Amino acid sequence: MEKFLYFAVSATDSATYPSSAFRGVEVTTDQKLQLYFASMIDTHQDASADEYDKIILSCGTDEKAAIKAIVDAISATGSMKEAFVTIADSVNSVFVAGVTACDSTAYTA
Amino acid sequence: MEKYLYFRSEVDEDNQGGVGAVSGGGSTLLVPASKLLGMQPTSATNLRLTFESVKNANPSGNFRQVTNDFVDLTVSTRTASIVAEAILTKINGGTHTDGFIVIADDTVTLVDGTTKLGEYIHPNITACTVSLQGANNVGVQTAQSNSAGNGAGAVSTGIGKPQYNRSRVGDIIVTNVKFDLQGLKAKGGAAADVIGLAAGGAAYIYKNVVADNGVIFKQTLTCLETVTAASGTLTDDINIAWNSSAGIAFDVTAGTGSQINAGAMEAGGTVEMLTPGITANHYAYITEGSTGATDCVFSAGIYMLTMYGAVIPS
Repeated sequence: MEKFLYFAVSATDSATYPSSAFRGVEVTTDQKLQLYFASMIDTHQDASADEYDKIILSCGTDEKAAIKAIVDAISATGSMKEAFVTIADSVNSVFVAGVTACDSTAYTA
Repeated sequence: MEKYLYFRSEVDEDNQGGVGAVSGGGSTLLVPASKLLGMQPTSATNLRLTFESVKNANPSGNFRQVTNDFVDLTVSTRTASIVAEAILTKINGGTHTDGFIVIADDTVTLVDGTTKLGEYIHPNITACTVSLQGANNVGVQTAQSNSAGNGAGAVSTGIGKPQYNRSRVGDIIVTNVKFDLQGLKAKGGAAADVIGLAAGGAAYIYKNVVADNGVIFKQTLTCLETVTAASGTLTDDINIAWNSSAGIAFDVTAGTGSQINAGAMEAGGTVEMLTPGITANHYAYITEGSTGATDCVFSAGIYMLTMYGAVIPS
């Protein structure tokens, strides 16, 4: 069963990606995680190669623990696990361990 | 279950983000193990793990060279294969894992000032360096080792950079280069001068790398969109010439080496050249076929250069 990862910055700014679209996490700023996904809009029809969507999350000082919590959420198995996985929902203040906010979404067009 | 590989090349947890990065990215990287393309020792003490680019992908129909991400692991002398085996063993390990695999974590000082040992999947690893490529990093824009690439002076205001694709049928390799003249300029002062951006910059559109395209035995030029001019006096006499230099810019001669002398063409027309004899590692340029132009800035004109190459038997 494929899982879908949910992110919400606000009531009008949210995104859901299949876990198979997840490409990786980069840390370029303290306490910020940049999550990259295959673009849900850009279908490679243009000449640009920067084909990704990016979600920026805030986290505590232990970025590694926050990243591990995201992996745990994606990898969790068992009959009680739902396909819909909330990684960071700033609207309802629901986050995986170590994550404190969903800062932004960015889509490649 | 997908596994995820974790790398951190920063010794001080306070400095997460950028410090220790080689180029274009941060010092921390998590990637799905399925994105691992290979592991290769680059020296007696270095094992390079290459991944599909996190930020880039091949645009449809193009043959651009997306630069992949990689992580260098510093390893004890001549232990790369042992380390590689340990990594693969962990990736292919059983179900008793949460999917989060620390390959290399250089951090020894935590935020609170306490210290710990670096964490590595194998004791022969002593450090790592994350090299995450920046967005839209699709290869080198100057003299290059790969065939599919262009100089900055050949970037049109229409389709942008030339677009590349390649296919192979048996031992025949067919390489297409589509380029657009929109925004480029033909000076008109002399035949064989390069057509390119008036602002300058090397204006080659392709490099003959035999290992990529085979021995080219035929080249054709097809007009896909008839040329028009935004200003100046139009010329439709367009040639393709090959030259050893990677640095020829607008209004500088590229000569007539292995030239396709196309003459005037309209959309749908093709000119072929059956004896190209293109020297290895020479560069293709769009050139003026005559002095017919006068400061012609093109507003349209899309062409496709097609090269047919034969694979050399090994």
